[in-house]
Amino acid sequence: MIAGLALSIFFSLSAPGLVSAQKDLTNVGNRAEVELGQALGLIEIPDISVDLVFVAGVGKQELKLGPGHYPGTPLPGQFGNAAIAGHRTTYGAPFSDLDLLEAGDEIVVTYPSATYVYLVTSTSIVTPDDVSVIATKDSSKGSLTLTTCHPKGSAAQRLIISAELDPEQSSPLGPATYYNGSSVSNDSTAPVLQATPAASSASSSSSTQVSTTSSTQVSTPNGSTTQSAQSPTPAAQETRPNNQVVSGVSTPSSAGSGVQLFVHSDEAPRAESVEIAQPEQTSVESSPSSSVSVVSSTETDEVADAPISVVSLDASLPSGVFGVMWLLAIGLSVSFGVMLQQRFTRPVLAWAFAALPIMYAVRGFTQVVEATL
Amino acid sequence: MERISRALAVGSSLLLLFVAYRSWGTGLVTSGAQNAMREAFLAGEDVNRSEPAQSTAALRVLVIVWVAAITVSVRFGSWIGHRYQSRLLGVSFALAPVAIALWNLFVTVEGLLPEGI
Repeated sequence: MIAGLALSIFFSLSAPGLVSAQKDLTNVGNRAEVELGQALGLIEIPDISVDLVFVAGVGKQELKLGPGHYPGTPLPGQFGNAAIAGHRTTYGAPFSDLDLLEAGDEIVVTYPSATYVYLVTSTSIVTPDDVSVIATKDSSKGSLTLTTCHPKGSAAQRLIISAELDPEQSSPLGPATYYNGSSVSNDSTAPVLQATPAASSASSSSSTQVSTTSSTQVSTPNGSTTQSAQSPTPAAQETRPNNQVVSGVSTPSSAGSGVQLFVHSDEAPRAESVEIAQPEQTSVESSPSSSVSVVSSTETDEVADAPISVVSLDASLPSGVFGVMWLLAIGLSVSFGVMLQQRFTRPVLAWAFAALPIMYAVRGFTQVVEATL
Repeated sequence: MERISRALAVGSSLLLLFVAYRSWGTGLVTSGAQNAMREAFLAGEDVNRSEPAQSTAALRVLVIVWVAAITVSVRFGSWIGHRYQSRLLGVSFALAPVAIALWNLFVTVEGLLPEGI
């Protein structure tokens, strides 16, 4: 018994959940690569009391830390549309009250050396595969898009908040710089880059080279990670969403042309696919560790005409399964109440204990039904 | 019948606790990371607290480990209770290891859940 206890304590202390909060900070110093999970800046939304550090990446691991910046979109404070995702109900629920934002509300992004104020312009609700909302529509100005799940407790839709930069309150915009996220994992649900045999109508000069040891160095608004930057032209910025595809991990099944990015997040649009011409010239190197690589503006230009097609690859459980789970929870809660009643022969006490789980389960079930409708 | 009732009670309690973990427990992970990141970020340091995702196979093994740890801890508490004729003492001894193992079980199970839950 004592050995068992010692074993359980040993495993408890070595478990990721408790230990993660005590791990040493990683000071990676200046470098060209931006790692997934790296703190990029502060996002503040005074009207809903949000004041958090946002990190690079929108994967499951990154969103545990806080709001995540979509790799492949410009950073806030740069020309183009920056996009940030956040959890709605779990992990501190940073974007829980995003639906309360109204036109004109401020979203402030702060870096050590600059501050950018965005004003909310619109709110919309889209399907999870509608990735067009994070694409840059006007590369001559700065905009910001926040995404989260909708309705609360469901991943059936996405709530989108669009905001535009207020130049009078902000530091000058910088040229857009990009990184591509890749995360190596044995987990079958991890981001996967795979080629699909798809026809292409992209530029005939397309030759995409993605390297995790990028020779192009990038300057971010966060002064702590600065390197020399190659500023993309406005035309290159417009084509930016195409480069989201050149991230992830190559799989054994990779063959043919075209690549897909599985955006690994319950808050993020599910998947998108870009088809690139002349696939024989496309080279993708998988990253040996969780990191992101920088793509130069010249590389961006090369995939300028590649079209984006959206592939729905929803990894979440269907609503029916959620519904059954919540019904099961209701049943278990009622059984709990019945058991307590038999045990203590005091119905009021029994049902007082059982009321909370029953109400919670009923609420969950109704939310699933609502989302389905 | 009594066994079924007990199983149902344990099942619903675990479910309720897991829901509580999802709602509030996960927030502790985020707030801990946020506090550390903010401090370092404002000090001008690069900071990254992200951890590599564990494989599904490893997570499944961990689930078994934590369930075993809970069982052993409960048995240990029960044995203490019987040995010293004090249920309170038994519960006191079992509480901490059970709580820790339960937390880690939830963390592990949460990692196994498909996206969108």
